[in-house]
Amino acid sequence: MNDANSEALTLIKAHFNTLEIGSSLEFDSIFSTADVREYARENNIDWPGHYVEQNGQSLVVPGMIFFRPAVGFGLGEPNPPLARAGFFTRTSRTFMQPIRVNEAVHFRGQITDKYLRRGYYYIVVDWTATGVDGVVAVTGREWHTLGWARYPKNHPKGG
Amino acid sequence: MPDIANLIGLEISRGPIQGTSAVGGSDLATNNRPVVPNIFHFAQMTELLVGQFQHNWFTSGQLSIRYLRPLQQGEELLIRAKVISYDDDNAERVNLSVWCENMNGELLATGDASCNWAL
Repeated sequence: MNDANSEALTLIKAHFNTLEIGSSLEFDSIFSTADVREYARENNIDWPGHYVEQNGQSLVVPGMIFFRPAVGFGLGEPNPPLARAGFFTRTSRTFMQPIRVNEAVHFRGQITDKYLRRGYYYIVVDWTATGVDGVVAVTGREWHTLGWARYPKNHPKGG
Repeated sequence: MPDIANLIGLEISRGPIQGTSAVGGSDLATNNRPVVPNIFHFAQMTELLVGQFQHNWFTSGQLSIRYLRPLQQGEELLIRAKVISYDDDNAERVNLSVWCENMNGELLATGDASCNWAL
């Protein structure tokens, strides 16, 4: 392994070891008009387009709520920089009611699994997004790596 | 929308869409070229499905995806979906196969979706 990869793996492993299955986090978030517009522009999404209710209320683009829960457990600050830039390997989502622009959303995430596989450190997070009325709007499960560094295939942990 | 009785085999698609989503200051790269985060694939798939199912998607949509390979910045992807069956317990709910591919026909992500066609 080169030095950069080794250094990254050391930090990722240390962070991975601090994460416990069953641990959870909760936070509130608001998707502003500016947030959604910028996301839509970056991702070539036609917004507001289909994302308007009959009463004219704009809705948050589903793909936008994808990332936030994972940030808390591995991909965002204050976690080690080299552990942040992981990648998602699987995603599951169930939508039950819309999330509206400029309304508070309560996120709750819980680590349901973590493992080392094919050289990468992974965590699995289940989460819910609840609207201001107290009704669950979206549930999801994410599988993602911690960081991009991996053990080489010829390493005992790389297979 | 087509008649609910005739949906099996219905194919919908979106694209090609150029992958230019911001990487966020990470070291996401393969072959010395920056790659587009997988959340871009998810965003494009949901855009396709919202376009088809409209408001029903927000109240009854379900999507599970497995990411297979990254899209490199500047590459284009196509998003496709095909209705494969009706739900066993709800004749108004359809199941779809969903996938996206690059312009070489390489599969980037694949998954399953379902949604109520009419409430």
